Amino acid sequence: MTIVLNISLLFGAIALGLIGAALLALSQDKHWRVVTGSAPKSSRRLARQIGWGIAILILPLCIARDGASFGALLWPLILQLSAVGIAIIIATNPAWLKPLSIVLQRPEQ
Amino acid sequence: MNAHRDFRSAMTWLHSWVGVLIGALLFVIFWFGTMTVMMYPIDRWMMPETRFESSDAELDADAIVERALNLKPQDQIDTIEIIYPNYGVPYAHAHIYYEYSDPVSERIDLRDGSLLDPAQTLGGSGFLYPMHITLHLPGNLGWWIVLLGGLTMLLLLVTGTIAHRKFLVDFFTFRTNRKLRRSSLDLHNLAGAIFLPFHFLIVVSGITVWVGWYASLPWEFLHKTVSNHNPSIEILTNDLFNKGDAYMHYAPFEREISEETAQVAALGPMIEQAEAIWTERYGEIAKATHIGLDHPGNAGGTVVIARETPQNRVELSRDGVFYDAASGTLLYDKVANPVQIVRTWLSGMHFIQFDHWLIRWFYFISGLVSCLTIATGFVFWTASRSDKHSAKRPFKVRFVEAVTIGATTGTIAATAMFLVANRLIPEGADLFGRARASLEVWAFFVIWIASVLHAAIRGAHAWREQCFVIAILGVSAVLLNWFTTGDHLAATIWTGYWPVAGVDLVLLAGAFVAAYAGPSLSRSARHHTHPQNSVGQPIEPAE
Repeated sequence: MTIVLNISLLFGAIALGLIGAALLALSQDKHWRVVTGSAPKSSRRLARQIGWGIAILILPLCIARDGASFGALLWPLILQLSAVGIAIIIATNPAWLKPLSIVLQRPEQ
Repeated sequence: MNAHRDFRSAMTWLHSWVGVLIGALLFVIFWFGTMTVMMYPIDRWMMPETRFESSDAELDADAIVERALNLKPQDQIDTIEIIYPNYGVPYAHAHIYYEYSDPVSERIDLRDGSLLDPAQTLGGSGFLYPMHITLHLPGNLGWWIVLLGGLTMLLLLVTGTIAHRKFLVDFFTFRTNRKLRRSSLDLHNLAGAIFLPFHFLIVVSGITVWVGWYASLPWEFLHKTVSNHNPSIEILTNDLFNKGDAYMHYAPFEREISEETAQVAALGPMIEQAEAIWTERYGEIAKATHIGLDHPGNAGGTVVIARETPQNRVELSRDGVFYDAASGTLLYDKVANPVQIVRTWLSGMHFIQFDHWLIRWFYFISGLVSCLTIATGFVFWTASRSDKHSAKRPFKVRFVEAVTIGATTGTIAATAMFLVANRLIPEGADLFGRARASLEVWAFFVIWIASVLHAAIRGAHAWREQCFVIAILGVSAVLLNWFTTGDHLAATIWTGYWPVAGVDLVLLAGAFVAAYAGPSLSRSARHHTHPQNSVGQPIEPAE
């Protein structure tokens, strides 16, 4: 049971890390253009705030998985690798982030 | 405004020149540091006789000490150190240090208490790890050079953040479809910026790990010359800098050596009591990891039961319980103070002696990214100069290029050769009066020096050629491991023996990356041989 919990916490943390990094990337005009192909309509401060919020939210997940000592070390490592993952996606397959950009556009309409 | 621009261009200038001058050293330190993260799996790979699972059997410290005491006359023994098995080492170590003769090291198989044959290789922990901290230079020279490297890295992190500030605005940018110069700059910025937390933590912790050694040097000087061995200054320096930390995390307990000899009391009860003390103090099961005996067999001898490297937390521990060796009475129970706890976290996150495979792999990847940051910085520097001087490149560019290639692909090829030599040279080999352990080191340095010379002759072509050598060596190492030990990848993965499977997989992955990266790294070489390619191309200003 603990193994299942450990694995789901880990994958949850990595998935959240990727989403958070993707939101931070989409909050920047340059990457928004690469992903959607259109000019950004408004400032996406919300995306940035949620992105950072998620990045911070991963810390309790790491601590829940490994305790404070290891969790505090695991946290920045997961954030770094997620950011690299998103950078590679933007460089190779930016279309993968399109669903997220559609979600972000909705509140404006 | 102008002052700002001056400041930034000054930082850019500083970053590129310090990087070019010290970058080769930094790559070497980071590369061997990254290897050190995996030194125990590398040890298992290089020492096939130790490829067994750790036993649950208790370590019989009394039997180990009794055997050690009878090797040579007891009064010649300075210290005996016993190291328990850990997550990566399935056997115990005993090191016996003598007053006037060479130390003796034993490897004890806990399954039956027998001794393993002496290791015929230095392995990861005996060669790659010392390379990281001393570069195998004599005396303290290596320590100072590595410290200089660490301080320079801090300078590069700060100046680099200012020099490449434009990138921080466009975080996540990596243009793969551009010229080598552009994509190497992107990669340098991306890897440098995203991994800034890791770079910073690992460098700061690396510097503070040894602070007890070099920061105490002026005090020691005062102590020896001005104060004429004033005891109060000695206590001050010990308290401030935890002297002895650099070498042993349980500082030796100073006692007068007696004239009389004495039997060593049974160690079992001491270990039990020490573990009970820690378990009660921390509310968790605490196990001893090290036992030290200072002048055993002497009436003034000391035993320390220490918990230097707890497996279940990041921090190294400073717990140590000291006993009188002859009577077994408790002398002193050492507890870390708050400042020391901060330092033990920093040391612990740098040494990564805990049992956490996930963090270990993240470290390994982060370390490789650090190497990539340094290497791409070099590639950008030389590629920019190649564009400008495509017809005739100045000596400084050729020189930097040779050093760079020798330090990057050359270091990697030499490390791969170290592993290949380990499997290629039979045990008990003797060539020019040198045993296998020494021949492996020779193979390493021969390849390393050859790669610098090769780079000096071949220029930018050397990138591709040395990457090709790395790919060949990586695949050969995996095949040789299969042929000489029978532990091929399918078998090690099937039985879940990850230390060896992991090394094999990383070797194959490294060979693949080298084969893939080589041709693109030499793109600048084509510019060099066909100057018309770059004629008329606008030179973009360096960032």
